[in-house]
Amino acid sequence: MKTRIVVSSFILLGALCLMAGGTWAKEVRGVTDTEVKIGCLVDLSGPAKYGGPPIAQAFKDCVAWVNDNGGINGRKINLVVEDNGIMPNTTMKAARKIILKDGVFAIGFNLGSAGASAILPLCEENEVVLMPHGANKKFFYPGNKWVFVPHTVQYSMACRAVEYILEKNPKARIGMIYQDDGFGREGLEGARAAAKFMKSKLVKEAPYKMGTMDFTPHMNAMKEANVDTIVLWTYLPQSASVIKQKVKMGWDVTLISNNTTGVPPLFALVGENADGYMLVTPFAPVHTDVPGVKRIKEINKKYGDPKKTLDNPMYPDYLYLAGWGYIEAMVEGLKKAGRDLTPDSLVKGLESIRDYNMGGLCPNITFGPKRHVSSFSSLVLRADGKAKRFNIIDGFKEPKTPQ
Amino acid sequence: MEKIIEILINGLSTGAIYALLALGFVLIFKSTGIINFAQGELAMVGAFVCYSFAMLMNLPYILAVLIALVIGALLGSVVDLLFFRRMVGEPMFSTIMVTVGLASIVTCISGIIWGHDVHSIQSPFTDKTVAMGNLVISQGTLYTIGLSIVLIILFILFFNRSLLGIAMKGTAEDPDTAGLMGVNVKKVHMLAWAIGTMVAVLAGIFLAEQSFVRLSMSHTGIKAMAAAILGGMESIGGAILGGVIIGVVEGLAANYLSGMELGDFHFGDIKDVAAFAIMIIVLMIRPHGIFGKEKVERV
Repeated sequence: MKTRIVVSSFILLGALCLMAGGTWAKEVRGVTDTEVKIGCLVDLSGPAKYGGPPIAQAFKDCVAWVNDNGGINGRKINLVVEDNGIMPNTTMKAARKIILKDGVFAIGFNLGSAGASAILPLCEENEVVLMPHGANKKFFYPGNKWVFVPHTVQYSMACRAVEYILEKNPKARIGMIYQDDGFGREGLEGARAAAKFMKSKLVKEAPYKMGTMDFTPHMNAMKEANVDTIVLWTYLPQSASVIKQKVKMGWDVTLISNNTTGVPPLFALVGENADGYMLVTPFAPVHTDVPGVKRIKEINKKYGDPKKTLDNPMYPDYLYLAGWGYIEAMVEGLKKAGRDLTPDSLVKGLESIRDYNMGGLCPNITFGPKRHVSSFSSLVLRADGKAKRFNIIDGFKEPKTPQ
Repeated sequence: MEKIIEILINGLSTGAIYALLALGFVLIFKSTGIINFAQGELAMVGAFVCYSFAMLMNLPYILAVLIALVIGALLGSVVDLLFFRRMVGEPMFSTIMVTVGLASIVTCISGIIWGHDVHSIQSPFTDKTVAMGNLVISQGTLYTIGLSIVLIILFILFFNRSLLGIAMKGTAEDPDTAGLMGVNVKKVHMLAWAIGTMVAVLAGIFLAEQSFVRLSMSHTGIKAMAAAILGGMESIGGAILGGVIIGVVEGLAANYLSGMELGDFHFGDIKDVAAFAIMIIVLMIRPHGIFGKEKVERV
């Protein structure tokens, strides 16, 4: 009798352990039967705080729309937006909070490449999928299991800019003014690689420190080198300063830049002098009539505040669109991961996305086990100074330069 | 040759702005003994005030500049009254820290009022150029240089020939004796702050004309301080020379050194480094600056 009780107790204990073990194995941070927590780290208070609200707004609009349509595999998205202050230390603080305290399952956006580098070990340790936005080539090449970049990176855009110029004029004398940091140097590397691939070279390179607004010497150096096209890997105020300097010098030089400068405030700063300014971007202008833009405009109208966002002529719309590219990639990854949601199943889900249709809003999204960047394609836009808007002059294309 | 002339003219234009800001430093330092670390912030406020009247209220540019100068003078007087009247004679570190705190307060309040965006001012010289053969120079550059030269001459005359200017110099030298000689020391200090701020406001407006109006334009104050130290903190001529040297050296460095490659070593933007390197070298040779004089005390 005594032996039977002891054996039964052991069997019961073993069964309880197994049951408990089973339960533990199923517990995934940020995932319950009814919801999945997704983090969004954007700058709401630091030097890039102009970028945070449009991105966060895109996430909010998309999440509201997804949840309203029944969520994903029976779960609603619980969005956690946190201010990362763009700097590495503030980003680390924000990431610790949303991972360790709020318990997010994945981070669908992090603004700032330095901050993303800082939080990467934390994400690896806690098996958190991270989608960084910034100078990103280092995040997918050679690649990291937990990092996905749903965005055409600066390297690819710079390649596209140089190839576009050299295809139009193989003898173009190209100079480059670039910000002397990760963002600018990634652009420089891309421009150099494309020029070399096209059997040409950058005839003059002029770096500047972040915050510089006087481009007199840089432009003098370009003129001295007799360039006819300048590739600008600059942010908006610096591009505006270069345009102003170009006018001051009475110099008719072609300018081509990156996506960060393709926003309406450029026209407020330099007016009609912006006319002819070109830029390479993975995002279609919001005035274009492509299905992807139409769709998000409708969603924004229903769930957001169009007067303050897409209908506002001064709204930095490309950041809003960038937000959409990220959250849609995350939503699609979650769908493909299935009901049994774990960090590994999300990675597999994301890696199985093939040519996800963005309706012309940005390049379609494709990931794979050996490819954690969604696209290499971008558009070329040209500023119309009088109409104060950018128009597409060359459709989505991948650079020919190896990426 | 044309390139050198262009670099020199543009360097002079930037240097003129540094010189004006440095002049403000020297004016306040000579009269009150206070090194004002908020000079760049006062310039930024002046540019924002001018922007508000010229662009938001659509007043004529010249009128907006004059209003900004008057507001600058009032602001300088208020700063003296609120912060520095009771700081006279206190240790230099305390006064410096008060100016550093003031700089933060001014930036914070400006951010609340005008936001953190970049804005454009349209002056009568914006986007206009003068062509001399192959040389194309913007009217704004020439206007900055010309007006700065006139102002600098006026200040030199004011300090050396006018009774008030001499009183200001005397007050800085020995406030107690100046007071005994009938100089109203408090009034002189307030006037120094008012004039110093007006000069900063003008520099800010010139700077806005060359680039844009923005909070970060206050960082130019550090370059101007370097110019003032380079020239000798108590010398008006030194401040001007210091400003011009830094402006021209920056232009030369950006044109000839930035982006250069030596083997695998790639130079970044060394414009700022070159300017401060020159300052360090000069100060190692002449610790009191180019025109600065060592004080010898009789015992």
